[in-house]
Amino acid sequence: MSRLSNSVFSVSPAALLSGASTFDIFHRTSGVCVGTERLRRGLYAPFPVIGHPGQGAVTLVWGFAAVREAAAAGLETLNCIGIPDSHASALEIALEFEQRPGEFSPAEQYALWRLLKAAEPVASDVVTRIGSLLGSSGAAFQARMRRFESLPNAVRQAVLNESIDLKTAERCRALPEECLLRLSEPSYRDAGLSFSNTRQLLTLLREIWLRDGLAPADCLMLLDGALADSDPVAYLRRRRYPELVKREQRFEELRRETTAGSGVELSAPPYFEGDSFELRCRFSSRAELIRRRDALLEIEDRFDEFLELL
Amino acid sequence: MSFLNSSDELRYRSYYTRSFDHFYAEESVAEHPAVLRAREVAPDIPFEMLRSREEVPAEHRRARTLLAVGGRGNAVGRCPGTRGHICCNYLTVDLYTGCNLGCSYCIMQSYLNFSPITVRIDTQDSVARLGHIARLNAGRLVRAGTGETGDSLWLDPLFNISAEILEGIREYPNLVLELKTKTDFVDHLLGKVDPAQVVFGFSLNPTQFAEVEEPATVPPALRLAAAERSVQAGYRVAFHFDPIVRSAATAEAYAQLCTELGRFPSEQIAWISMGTIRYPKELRDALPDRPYLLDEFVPARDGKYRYLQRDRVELYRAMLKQLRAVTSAPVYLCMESDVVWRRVFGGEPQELPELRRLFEDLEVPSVGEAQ
Repeated sequence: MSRLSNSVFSVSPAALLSGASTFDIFHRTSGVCVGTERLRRGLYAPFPVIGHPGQGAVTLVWGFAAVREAAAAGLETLNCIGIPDSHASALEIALEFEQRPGEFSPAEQYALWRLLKAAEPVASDVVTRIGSLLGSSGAAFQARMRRFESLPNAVRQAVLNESIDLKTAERCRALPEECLLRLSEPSYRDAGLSFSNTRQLLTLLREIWLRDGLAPADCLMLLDGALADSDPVAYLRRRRYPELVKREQRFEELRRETTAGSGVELSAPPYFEGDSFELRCRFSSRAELIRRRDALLEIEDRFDEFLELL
Repeated sequence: MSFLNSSDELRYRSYYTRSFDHFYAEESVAEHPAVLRAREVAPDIPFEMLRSREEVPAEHRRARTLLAVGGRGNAVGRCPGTRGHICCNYLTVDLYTGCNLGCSYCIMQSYLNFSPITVRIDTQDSVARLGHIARLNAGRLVRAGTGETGDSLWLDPLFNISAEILEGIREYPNLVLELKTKTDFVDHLLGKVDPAQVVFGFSLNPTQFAEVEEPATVPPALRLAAAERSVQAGYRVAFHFDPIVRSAATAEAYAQLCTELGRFPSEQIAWISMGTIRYPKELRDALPDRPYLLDEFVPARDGKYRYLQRDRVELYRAMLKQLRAVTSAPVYLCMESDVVWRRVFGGEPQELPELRRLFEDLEVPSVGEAQ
């Protein structure tokens, strides 16, 4: 950290928190936990600040959570160190302190990006170093942020809330705004969908919307219907793939009606591609064998109904 | 310009000048007769010689740039086919990479967007390898085509490469070159190449579908007219219903197209193929949102997405019935499973007398084996 000056000085937590909050952008738990006891004993790296208390207000660059902790614990002063008055360089130092490449949230990354943009022109080597501190390359970081900025507001919000990832956001950006706004609302969060399920849900919704030419209100009704269901993805899948789902349901019915409780496992080829079903069973007594045999006879009776599915 | 008549000369000059902004050729082929022909046909396309293809400026790496490359070495291979599906033992000759006919279902569009249309000018090695394969498979029919990674005839009036290949394979009567196209660019070859060794293959789709989804191709009716001219000149033709796309609107149109094939004598139709639309999962996102892609697709055994098996069988059966009503030409399925083959034809191609010769196993040596 050659950009840090050598002089360490003391500043009260209150003064640090009353300065500009420009760099208060890291909301996840920092990789460097200081802890009240270490703060009290002075066993920590000085907090980087822009400015000097003797020359007016200081701007804390990193360590907001720890400084709040110190304020709450009643500490009078904290050791600080001055850094050059440059946003780009301050961000770099903050990221070095943060020490969690690859773990920054979309909101943190976007806040960083906005600060970087405000500090333009930024040398490309700084962007490269910042990219690497974020866990990717500078070019990838820039590209990701530009993709994010090209999204409609409602989708951006959902990405910042971590309701959806950037790739999904791009795929569903054209959905009616009503639906996109829903992704930031409690009814969506209550559904407890994983990123993967969300991606599936929105892909299905988007395809149904396009295929059926749904009006925005109908699209929203469909999304709400899905979110109210115990399995939102399955709900939309039924609508998106009616023929496939009909066959799956029919097979399940037939399987249940012919083999339930018999100990015979019956499976159809994946997606009904193929010309054969698979049967599996074991037996260890005559009674079991008779149950299996009866199930097979039942299957034989309904052979044509099975064959209809392939 | 001996290979084009004067009206074609005007047509193609205007067409290619509209299609391309730049024409580059690698130094090694800049004086090749095919490149000189192209410059003569379309003198208004700005031409530049390069030491290698890497020198194409970044801003010209797109489909409106034409690039002639040397690239001696093997360009002949087996049609990639797909795992778990029956392949027709077709050989592919990679002459062209890319095209700007703009078919919305073409997966090449997605990964060739930032590449010039590349033409492999030097065909000597390909011709030699085709000859070697033909000799190894004497007595068996060897089918080869140049339409795997580009349209066989789209650029042919410019470079006239097909005639060169056909000249090169004349001594191998068991070798047939199919020139598969969505154009009607056949006239420069009619009467000039041996009818015994060439098949003009036309991809067909209903007009209303082609208008929207194959925007820069020649309309199907004109392709059929070109097929008719080919037949009248004594050549054999092939028809490819691929990709077949189902919709309420297209069902009747496919039936009508099938009926139209009745005007061709069966013995002059070398083969007809059918293949429903399919795509690999990883390329779905790269394809545009077209209504036909919002149908129900499921992963087949090779991982490619297709209509449900039962629906494909129904589509094929219906088309086969319509085709059988008007022609006795061989009909086969492209990249389909054994199950679908059995359900549509009652057997796999090797079991069907009319298809056995087309699907005969070929011995194709690996590159580098003594020729």
